[in-house]
Amino acid sequence: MWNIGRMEWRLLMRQYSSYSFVLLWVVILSLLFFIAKNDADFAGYTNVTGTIANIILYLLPLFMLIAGSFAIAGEMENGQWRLLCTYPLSQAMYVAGKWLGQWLGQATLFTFSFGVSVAISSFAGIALPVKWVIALYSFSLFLIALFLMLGLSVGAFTSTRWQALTVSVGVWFLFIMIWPTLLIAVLNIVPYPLIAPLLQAATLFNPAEVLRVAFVVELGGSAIFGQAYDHLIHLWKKKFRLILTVYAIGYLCLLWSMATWKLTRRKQR
Amino acid sequence: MRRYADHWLLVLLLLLVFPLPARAEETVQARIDEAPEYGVVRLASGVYDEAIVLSKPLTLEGIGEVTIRSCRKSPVIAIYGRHVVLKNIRVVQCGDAPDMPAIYVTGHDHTIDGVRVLTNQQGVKLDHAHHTTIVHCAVQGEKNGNGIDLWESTQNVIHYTAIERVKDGIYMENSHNNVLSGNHIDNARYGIHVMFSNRIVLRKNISEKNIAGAMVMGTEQTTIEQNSFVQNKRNVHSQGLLLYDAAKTIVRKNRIAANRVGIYVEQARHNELTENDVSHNFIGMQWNESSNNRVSDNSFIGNVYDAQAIRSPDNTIVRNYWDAATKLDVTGKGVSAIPYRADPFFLALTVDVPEYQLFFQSPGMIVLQKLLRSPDEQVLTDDAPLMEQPTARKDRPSRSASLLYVMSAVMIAGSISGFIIGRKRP
Repeated sequence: MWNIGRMEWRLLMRQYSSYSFVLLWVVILSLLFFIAKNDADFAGYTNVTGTIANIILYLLPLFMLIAGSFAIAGEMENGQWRLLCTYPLSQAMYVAGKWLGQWLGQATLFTFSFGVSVAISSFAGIALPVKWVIALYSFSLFLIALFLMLGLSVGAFTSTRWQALTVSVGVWFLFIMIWPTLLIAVLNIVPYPLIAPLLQAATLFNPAEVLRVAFVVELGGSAIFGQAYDHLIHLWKKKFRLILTVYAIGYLCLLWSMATWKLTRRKQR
Repeated sequence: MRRYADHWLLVLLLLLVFPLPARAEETVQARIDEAPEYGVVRLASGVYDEAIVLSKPLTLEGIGEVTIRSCRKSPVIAIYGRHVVLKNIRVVQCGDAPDMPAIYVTGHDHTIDGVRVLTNQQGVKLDHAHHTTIVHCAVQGEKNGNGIDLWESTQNVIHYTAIERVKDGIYMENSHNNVLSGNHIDNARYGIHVMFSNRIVLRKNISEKNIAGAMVMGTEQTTIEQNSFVQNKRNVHSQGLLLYDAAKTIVRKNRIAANRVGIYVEQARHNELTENDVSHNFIGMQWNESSNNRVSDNSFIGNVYDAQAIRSPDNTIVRNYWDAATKLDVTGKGVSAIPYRADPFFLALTVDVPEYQLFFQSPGMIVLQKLLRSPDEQVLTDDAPLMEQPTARKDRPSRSASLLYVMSAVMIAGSISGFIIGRKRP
């Protein structure tokens, strides 16, 4: 596992294309921080904060899905995975190593970009509230972690990079773009009392939504979700970090075992 | 004979050493009755189980922990006439006669200072009371009656009073020219309830976690400024501030946050709403059958839905700051050239299924909202939205950037060392 992880990390660090990610993040994040400048009271949750979170939500999951799925699908395609199958290495460790290496690498790239953007905006005289910056940063790291694992499981289920790309974009479109439309359309045909539990269950299924809600709650904007979620969010607030971490680990483990199961079956074939 | 004389001497001696406990048994009422006009009656620490009537100019003051308690079918303390001062007393009303106040006040120029009321029913009732001051008091109820109830009482002042767990925090009807300031009301039905009373001043009050922060009905020339109406959202009809049948009223510099509806205005004319900070409400501002009002220089931030107007023509809604607006300043005057339209699409969606509110500002929702745009006649429009927030605190603490520099330096250094380790040949 450690070898796989180290190899993945080295690969990411040595690829020049990885550094184009840095450029992309720096540009986007700096622009977002400049937008935030006009928002005088943005320590709490405001529309601008929502917009910033949304742009990150559009971009990060897509790139992470692609990066994650390519990490496995690429090795499928060039036969490296078959070679690895001859080694005494369990598929679970393979996936875990991939995830660890990718996450460390992507997080390093993102951290670098984030640091540069914060420095740029500070030089430009934008005093960002520290709490807000930390909330945004941890929100992004959680997104990277979850969507990389999602990408890895996508990779496990596909056999070429082209397939992986298609499925990744599909998953991204489902979880980010079409999610509310889909849920509203589906929930309109179920009996009314079922709407609330189904909606909550479906939300748990979508890590992007959970993280977005967590981000809003962390910045004190929980009131915007209204009466229906008051008690839930009140409960959540008591052990906010613990519950969020448990959720993230649970979700990661679920995806991990799914990817492992699929890869083990493929190996046997 | 001599033996008897001895006895008399003994009795006399006993009387001198142990005087009859007449004064201790004397009631507070008796002491009040004995006192001269404008006199001061001081009560020592203790619990006094009786109902009191004060009907002449007098000061009744508690020294230490003084509690006056009564469960009878009359007020614990009744004040009549003029110039009565009640100071530093705890009043407990434990009776269950409906609407029985702990303190009943009528007449004029009374002062109630530092009185803590614990009541089963009503707290303080001002009935035809004028020029009376209630200051630094506290009222705690059992949600059966109003905290402070004014009926045909004018020119009274209620300052720095904390009221909780009552029906209406401060209720006034047909009571003009009263000033309410610095009061704190929570967990009541309506925090402040004004009915058919003109020229009222509400200033720097905090009304939170009630069904409605302030309900102002049938009023003219009232001033509502620098109050905080927050977290009034317990009920489906909860509001921060309700203006109903109000005219020539000024609402300015209030903080209206996290309510179900921030400001609800119905059948109101010629009012002015300026410089209010309306944030994180479900609906920022809602209008119904109101005309000729002016809404300007307010900030609408992070509301699920900023504003809605039904049958409300001829209102002037300009120069507000909407954080949801797309802003473009082409003239350099700090006003955006793009009018702001408050689209009711999301509101319409969540009316039937409140759970859908979870999608507020969800990335996919924004896409859907852009696709399904509401027709123009359904939307409230600000033709000249402000570029910058007018209610931003001027004394905003200048955040030190040094921590940010440290943070970014740590991030950059950490990741660069990551790069180096990653790129090093094994």
